Amino acid sequence: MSRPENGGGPPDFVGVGALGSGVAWWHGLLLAHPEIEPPAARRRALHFFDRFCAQELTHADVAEYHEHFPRRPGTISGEWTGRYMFDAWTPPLLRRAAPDAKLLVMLSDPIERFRAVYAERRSKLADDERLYMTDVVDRRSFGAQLARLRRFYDPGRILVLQFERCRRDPRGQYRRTLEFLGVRDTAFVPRRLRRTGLLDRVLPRRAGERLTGRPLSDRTAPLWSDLEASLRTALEPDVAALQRLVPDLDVGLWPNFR
Amino acid sequence: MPAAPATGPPDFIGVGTQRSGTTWWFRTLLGHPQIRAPRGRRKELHYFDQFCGRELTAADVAEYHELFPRKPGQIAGEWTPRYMHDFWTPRLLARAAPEAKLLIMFRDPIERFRSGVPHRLSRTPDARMEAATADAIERGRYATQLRRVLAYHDEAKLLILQYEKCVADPAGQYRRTLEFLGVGTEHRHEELERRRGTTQAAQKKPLWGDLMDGLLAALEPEVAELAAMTQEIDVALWKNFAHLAPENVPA
Repeated sequence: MSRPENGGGPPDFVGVGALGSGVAWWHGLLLAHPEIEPPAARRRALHFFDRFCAQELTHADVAEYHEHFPRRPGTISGEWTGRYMFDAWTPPLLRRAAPDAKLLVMLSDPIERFRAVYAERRSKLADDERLYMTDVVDRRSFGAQLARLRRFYDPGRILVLQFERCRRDPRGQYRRTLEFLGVRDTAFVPRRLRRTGLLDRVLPRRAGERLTGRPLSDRTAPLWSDLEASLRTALEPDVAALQRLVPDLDVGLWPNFR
Repeated sequence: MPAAPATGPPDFIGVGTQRSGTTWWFRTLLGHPQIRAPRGRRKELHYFDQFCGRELTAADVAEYHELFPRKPGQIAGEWTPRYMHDFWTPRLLARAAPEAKLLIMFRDPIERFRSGVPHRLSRTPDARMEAATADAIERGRYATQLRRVLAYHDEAKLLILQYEKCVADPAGQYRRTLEFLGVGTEHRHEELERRRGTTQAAQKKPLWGDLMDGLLAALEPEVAELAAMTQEIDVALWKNFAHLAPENVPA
């Protein structure tokens, strides 16, 4: 395939999931590595494939996607759009546009995120509006999403990271990510990871979330018994399926699924 | 003077699925002299939608019961297709109407999808296309939803209907529904052959190869699991999944 004039080409890696699991934090850390370049638009999440639920992906579209990834010799480039794994139409398109890309998935406790979104939506609700959370449970059904992703990509091409493990052992998981991506300097440690703890204390909450990956846990809402029980009924089988697909997933790190 | 109709928990509740002929089937049921619609003759009460945002109280349960008046010898019920997809609702139904019989109508999930996307966009014009599309795919994850229903309801009080069977044999499936509901089965409905609410072919979402690949990856495991969960689904009648029917799977 000819390379676009700007030196672009298919991305070397694409983060495909999951929304609200610390992907901005982790992608930011990856971009601190001297061998890893951001997309030309300097946005983490290109959302390039979103619109192809309504139209076919053409060769010109594929070429346009490749233009997002110019890179200097010796570097790699990629993006991370948290909804790609959820959108069922995207994996076959990604396989067409970037068949050799390595895929990154960062997952976190599905119920913790539910609580955070719940609190957020509740706070924005008008008096006469009803609160629906059906879509959030659908989005947090990681087992089903990973299974369909594997129809299009070999499991060896997909690295499943766990947010809670990255928080606990950022350097170890960072190195693991670098090894998976195949960069030369896998011993590199971003400055942000050399001074852990400081950022958490001094940054405003929003910025802190972006940089440290801390979720909105201080705003989570208590759930009553019916809602919580229903949530478990909905998500436990999916987490069990996920565990079968990813045996090294440590569910013990997910407070709601210990 | 005749006694005022009594109210109480519904005798039956349709819980799924949207764009699968449930309006046709509910209207057909209402033609039966022993079956009553909820107050206001609405098919879809959406009563439990609100309880993702707050707890269901005893007063709410009583209010729900008030919506179902019926005379002696009659039964009453509603059919809200999203109840099965809303993860919080099956458990609440078991609290509010523990004895109710549940009805589900399933249709080829890709045909349902093709009808569901334009439906969603027409109802909520400001919905983003990708959100409407994702929603229409998720609603087709039938096995996942059925599992949640069965976590709170006994299989014996659940009737699974298949839209394509109802189209092919309306009288037989109507009779089967009446038997399940426990009302007289002799009634013949003059409108039974007349289907309503079908999406015009021109409005259906078109499919192309990549989209079909994505849909099949998401929905084939669900259809296979559904077929393993219930004998009531004949996968051969779903043209997009007929290859999964036992007679078409190579040994």
